[in-house]
Amino acid sequence: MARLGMVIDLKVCVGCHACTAACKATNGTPPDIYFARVHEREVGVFPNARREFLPVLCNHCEDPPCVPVCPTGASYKREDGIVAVKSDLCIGCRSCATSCPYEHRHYVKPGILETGYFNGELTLYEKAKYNRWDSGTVIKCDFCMDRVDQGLQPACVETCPAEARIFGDLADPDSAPSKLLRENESFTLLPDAGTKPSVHYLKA
Amino acid sequence: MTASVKSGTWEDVELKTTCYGCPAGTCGMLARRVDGIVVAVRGDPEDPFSQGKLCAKGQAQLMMAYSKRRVTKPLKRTNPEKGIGVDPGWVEISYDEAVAITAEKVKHCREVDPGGLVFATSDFTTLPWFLPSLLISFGSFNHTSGGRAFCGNNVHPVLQQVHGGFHVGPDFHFCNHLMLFGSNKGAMSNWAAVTATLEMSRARRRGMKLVVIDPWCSNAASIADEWVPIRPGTDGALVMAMINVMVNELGMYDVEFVRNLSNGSYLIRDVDGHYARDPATGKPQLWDTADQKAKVYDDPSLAVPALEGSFVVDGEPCTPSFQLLRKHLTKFTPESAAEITTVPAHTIRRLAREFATAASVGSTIEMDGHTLPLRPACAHWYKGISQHSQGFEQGLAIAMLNTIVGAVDVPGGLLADTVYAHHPEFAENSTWMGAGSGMRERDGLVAAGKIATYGDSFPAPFPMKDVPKPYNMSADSLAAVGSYNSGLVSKVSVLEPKTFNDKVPHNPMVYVQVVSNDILNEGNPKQQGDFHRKFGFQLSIVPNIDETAEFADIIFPTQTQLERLDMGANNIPDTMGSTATNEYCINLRQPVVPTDYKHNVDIWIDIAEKAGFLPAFNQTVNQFLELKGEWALEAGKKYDNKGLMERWIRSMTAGKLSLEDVAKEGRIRWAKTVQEKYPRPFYKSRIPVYYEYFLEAGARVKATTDSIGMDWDVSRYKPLVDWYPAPGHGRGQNGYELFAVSFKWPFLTSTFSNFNPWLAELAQYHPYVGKIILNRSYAESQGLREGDRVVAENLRGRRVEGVLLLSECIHPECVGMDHHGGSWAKALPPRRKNTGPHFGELLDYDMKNLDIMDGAFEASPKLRVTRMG
Repeated sequence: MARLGMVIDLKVCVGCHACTAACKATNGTPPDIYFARVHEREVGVFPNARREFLPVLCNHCEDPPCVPVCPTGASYKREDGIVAVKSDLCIGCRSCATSCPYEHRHYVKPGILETGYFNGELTLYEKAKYNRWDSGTVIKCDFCMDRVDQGLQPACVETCPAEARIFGDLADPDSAPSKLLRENESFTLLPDAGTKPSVHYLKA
Repeated sequence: MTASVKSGTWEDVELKTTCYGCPAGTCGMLARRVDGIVVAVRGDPEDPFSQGKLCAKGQAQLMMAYSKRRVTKPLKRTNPEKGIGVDPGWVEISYDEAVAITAEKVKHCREVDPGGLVFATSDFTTLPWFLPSLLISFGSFNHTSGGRAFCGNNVHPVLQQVHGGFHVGPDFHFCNHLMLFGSNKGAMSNWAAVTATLEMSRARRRGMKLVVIDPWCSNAASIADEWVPIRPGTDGALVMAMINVMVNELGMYDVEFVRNLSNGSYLIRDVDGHYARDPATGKPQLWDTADQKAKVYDDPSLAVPALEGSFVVDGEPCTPSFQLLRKHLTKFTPESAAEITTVPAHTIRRLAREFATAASVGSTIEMDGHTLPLRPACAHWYKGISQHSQGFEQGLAIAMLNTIVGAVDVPGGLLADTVYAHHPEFAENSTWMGAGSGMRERDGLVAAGKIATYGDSFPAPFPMKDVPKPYNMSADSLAAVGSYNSGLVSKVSVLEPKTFNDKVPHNPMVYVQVVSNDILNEGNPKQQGDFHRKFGFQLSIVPNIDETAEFADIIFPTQTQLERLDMGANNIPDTMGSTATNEYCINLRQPVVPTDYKHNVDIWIDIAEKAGFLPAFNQTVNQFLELKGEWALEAGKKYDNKGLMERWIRSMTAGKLSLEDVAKEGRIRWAKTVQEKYPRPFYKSRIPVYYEYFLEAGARVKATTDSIGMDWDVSRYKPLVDWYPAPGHGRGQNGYELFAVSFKWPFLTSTFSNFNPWLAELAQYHPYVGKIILNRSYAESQGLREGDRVVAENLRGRRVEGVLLLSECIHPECVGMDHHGGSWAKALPPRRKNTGPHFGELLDYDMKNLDIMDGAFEASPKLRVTRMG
């Protein structure tokens, strides 16, 4: 069985936020909701210091804590490992958001789909895009599953100008991400949470 | 049975266009349109620049076309008072009325004094042809662009002299050791940013080492193998010391390159520092050690020119210029450079050795049957070097670092972009296809290629030009070895009346703004406002009312990226031949959404018609688009932008391609030959290491300025590259001990991005955007704490306020802030308005801060930072 996942190579990520914006543009997420983000922090002491970039998105965990806590079955894990939400079943209780140690569940606050980016006047683009969201529900990164089902890459992977993101089937030892994980030192975020993330990082 | 199909209202298509998320407008883009609405964009995988990638600015273009903050109707000012925060009292008027009002003002200016018009454009897509066409047909020579003082004023003239090109980039395919000085190349900035980022990522994965010299740990420095923090404005001193170590301590440099492809072997007369020219031909001479004779540089019998020794030629004692350079270098000891730069002497020696070692002098590579030198080490520089009052010589020094190891336009080195482009089929039809491509020379030295001078509309530093009395507001002619002066001098001339006013043509009447925003993006806005108020009439052609447009008398709304039609969308001279690609490419930007707005070229055509200079405009368009034969414009006819683009394509392809053909492909592209990509081994012209002609340039500038009674410093016109202190260097700053440094973010492009709510939102969540940044140890020594509200103040008491962020990633002598913040235009998205300090506030327009060699502007003043009471 497939297990879709991603490797992010921190050696080449330049912290440019192309992923953040591609996710926003492709998914049309409402204001202040970002499925893909890039964290920054400083490491070291001057002059041996640098800014470290850490692109993050839903980890599509093998053991996603957000799925069993869902009282309605809206949160689910597909056979290929993608964790997604059926918005028609979501009642907006946000148990999933509380359970996700990575803060990758986002609640669509009532009103935000009408407010949009222009203070109540939706653009043609927003009208076309916000249809897919329901007010008062929880939304999240789904690895761009509509695209993946058509054989495309997630938008953040496709656009990355540094080719820092490699997407594929972690269960297939010959896939590009599997090979990278075999050949390089890697880590996942918050391993102690026991979620077994499908997003892995190669060390800078 | 017969059948006919009528297409329904639904659609789901991907359309080819070209990004315009930054002024370079480089990247081929696919726009997915569903039922008439563009719902997503991506890089066009067939485009050699984007290769299917887009940056944040490109992705966010969707927000611009559909923005609800756009100006939608022509507007007229009713409040005659102009100023920051002053309500212009806009009233909507019809397009025809706006054209009529503008045409009357423009016509009057043209009749009275065409030199009273200033044309400011940051529409870099049309700049190469439209700017000169419009200005010359009008009769003015005043051009600028918002932020030009921080542009490549002192980058381009250096490149034109060393590479013959306007832009350069590292050869990411073969470079193994890249040094960046005040440059973020490969970390989503500079021209062809996506391409460079992609190629640098690939280069680093195969092991290229990256060393970044910068007072601020930029994005490039953050991923580099080594970040070398440096005192601002001292990179030139560091580099001269590195060259000294390589030449005089290690003997690690490319002797044969210096001998045969630089003017290091030209003989210099001891008496006056000029070339020892052959009396018969006037050509510079060299000393051939093979038969102990002086010979002209192109003598076919020339075998082994001397690089050292003392010779007597025609009775005059002479010395090879390289020997003079070697001696001159000795004053740049690593120890003295360490004091200037704060980089330890042992680090300077190590940097020199590592660079020289990586250059692997003597190695070669086979390519398409040619044996070429392989010099896989080079240095690149940009804004951090350029925005100093003594940046010109610092650029010359960094270029010499490449020259001294032969890493100029060879595999692995620093490569010029478009100069050698030569379309296999259409080359002879236009400059853009390669007519007049390749090296030009004088005295055996490189002179800028035709495309590197924007079809000869920007003067090049070499061959030496006449230095006439100033003929435009920016006194371009006085930058005798610069490319253009205009970013600054026109404004200094307002504020330094003693130096300029009665000597430089100065009759401000009409200011034209086309998507450029100098009030926000250059120096202190109060001075900018004073400058703008001098103009009786300001026309602004903008998609959004920005800070400069708030001073307009008439505003025309114009198109955004998804609405535009532009051949040469990627600004042909600058990015057609990004050095990181194996192809040349001219991209087409085509409309993918319906629009009610006009292209700025079409607005101008309407104005020119009404003002009576359309016939003259058509003629200059013929000249700069090089429209010939049946595709030339007739003087008495009116054409639109689309018609011009059609004729341009047909003319440059001798009628073989139409706009429709190019629209299908999205571009005209062709593979680079090895000679085009790596021209240096194929041309014999030499690169200066001794700028002999600066002596003559300085003398001409002095003669001209003396003749008009102008006090003008020519002391920097010296043949040997030197380093000069900037105004902030040295002692006695009385508590103002911090150098201001500014930087850009990879997802912001000033006014191009300020009106974009997605990019504004990204900025809002970014930890450093809009903060005042101090080194943690320094701040703590002053009792300042993270999150304090502080004031940063310059010596004249001009100040900005902001929130303090303590960082390990900035030189302790610096206060850092981005150069995007503090915008105030009324139409901005609330998320972007008044966010953080406005860096330009701290910069003063005056002679002290002017780079007199090229019109650049000192942007590292001394500041003090104190907690607000």
